[in-house]
Amino acid sequence: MSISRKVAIVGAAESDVFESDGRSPVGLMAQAIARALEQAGLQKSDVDGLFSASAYYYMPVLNLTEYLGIHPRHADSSTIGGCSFVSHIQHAAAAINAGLCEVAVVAYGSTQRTDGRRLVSIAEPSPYELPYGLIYPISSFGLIAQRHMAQYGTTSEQLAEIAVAAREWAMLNPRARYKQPLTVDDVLSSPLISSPLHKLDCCLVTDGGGAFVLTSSERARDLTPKPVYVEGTGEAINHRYVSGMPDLTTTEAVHSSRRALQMSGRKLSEMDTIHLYDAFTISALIQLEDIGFCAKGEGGAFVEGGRLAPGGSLALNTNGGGLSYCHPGMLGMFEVIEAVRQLRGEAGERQVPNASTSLVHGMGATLAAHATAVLSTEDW
Amino acid sequence: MSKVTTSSTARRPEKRPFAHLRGEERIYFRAAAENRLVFQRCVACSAMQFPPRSVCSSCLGHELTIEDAQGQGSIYSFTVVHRPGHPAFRDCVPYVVVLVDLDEGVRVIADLEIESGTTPRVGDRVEAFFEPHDEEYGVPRFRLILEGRSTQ
Ligand SMILES: [Zn+2]
Repeated sequence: MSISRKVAIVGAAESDVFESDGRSPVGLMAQAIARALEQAGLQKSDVDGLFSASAYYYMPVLNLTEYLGIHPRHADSSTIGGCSFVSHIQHAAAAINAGLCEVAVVAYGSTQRTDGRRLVSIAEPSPYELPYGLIYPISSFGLIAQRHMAQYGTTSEQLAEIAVAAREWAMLNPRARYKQPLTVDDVLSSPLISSPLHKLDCCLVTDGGGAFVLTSSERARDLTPKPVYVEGTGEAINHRYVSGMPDLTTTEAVHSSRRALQMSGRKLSEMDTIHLYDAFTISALIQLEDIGFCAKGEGGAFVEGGRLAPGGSLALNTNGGGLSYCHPGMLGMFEVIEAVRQLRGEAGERQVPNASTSLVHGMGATLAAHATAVLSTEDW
Repeated sequence: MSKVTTSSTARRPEKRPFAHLRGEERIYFRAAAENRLVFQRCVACSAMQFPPRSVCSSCLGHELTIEDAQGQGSIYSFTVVHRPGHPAFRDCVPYVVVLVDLDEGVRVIADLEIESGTTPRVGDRVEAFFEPHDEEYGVPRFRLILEGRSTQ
């Protein structure tokens, strides 16, 4: 029994982002949930499935039920890092399809910028890494980038192209903070943090929250003229820490993306917008290769020449991504929301004309966990 | 013994951050206190693994032996850390973290003692040495083996 096309997203909204304006992490979640339910024309009493992941709350679903006075009959706080919310699409689709809930809300909130302008470090460092002073998670991605360079000849200039393209997209996003263009030289002359990664190879540190609402495709058609159907999903996970990562340049994204595409019955070439997890330039590059936009090792050449920028051949991270729009610690939520915006035709100046099908891919930890979703407004 | 770099190396922290070790996590660092770099081998399937586990990650076998590595290998990857990843490293930047493929076939993580201003390369040959941590545990570290420097 497949979950393909059985459920749809009927509401998706961000809280205030970049700075939290005096709201707590759960406060940001609640703000986004209220906006997403309003879009869907649903009441909080309709919510009977609740999904969340958090670096702040050990059991975020419990915090949310108390904060909002909701009483779900199905709850899921499963956490596989920043892609948890992409994986929650699969979990919610399965739960709705099995009759365990009808209206599922997925929520996230973080005040990481207000908390001290640095990434909240993982609470459980590897005993084998801790004595050596790695910066989490940047040094792990430095090791990954250095290996990719040694193995395939990828250059810092090529990685910088990814940050430059992200900024060009952000300049079309009225909610993005940084509006001055970026050059490859700007990236290369920004300070090295953990080689070969410079400051501008790394994502922003922002506050932010978001939520989206899923229900059965049948009910979705009654709620909205443009349901965003979940056509395919996939997950794949293989390690926890970079010191235990079997291969630093090829990841389980290969498998999660294949599973999602196979379930959807679609080809990569049918994707109108692409949403990858650009916590670092190198993480986006490896996902491009593993998902199959280019061959393994050819990501460096692939991103050259503005291919990822507005007007290029790949509409990648159209909101500016984690590199230039918003990264409160877990990016997957914002990838999903941007895909929904594009698919509903609500992306304003950065709208990809007639976008009807999108691929969302998230990673968790050091390219350790992967979740992919194929979303589409096309009826069948 | 191979010749190793000894002069004007980057500073190391006075007291390294160190986890509260539980169970099999102690094996590696206890051996390091005895100047040994160890890994596990499965009796049933001969698979090698690092770090030590309660079962074999290839076949789930329960019988595992501890073997001593010779301590030599090559750099699989590295990163030069320019901002302290922990307060203990405040006066130590820049310093080098390495993933090392030991000649026996397992990969370990550690740091690389290297002359200030020098950058290693992927493929460079390295050998382990050991720094005492406390009465019970030691910390494995690596140095470049200069003769064996790869031409990659
Ligand atoms: Zn075995």
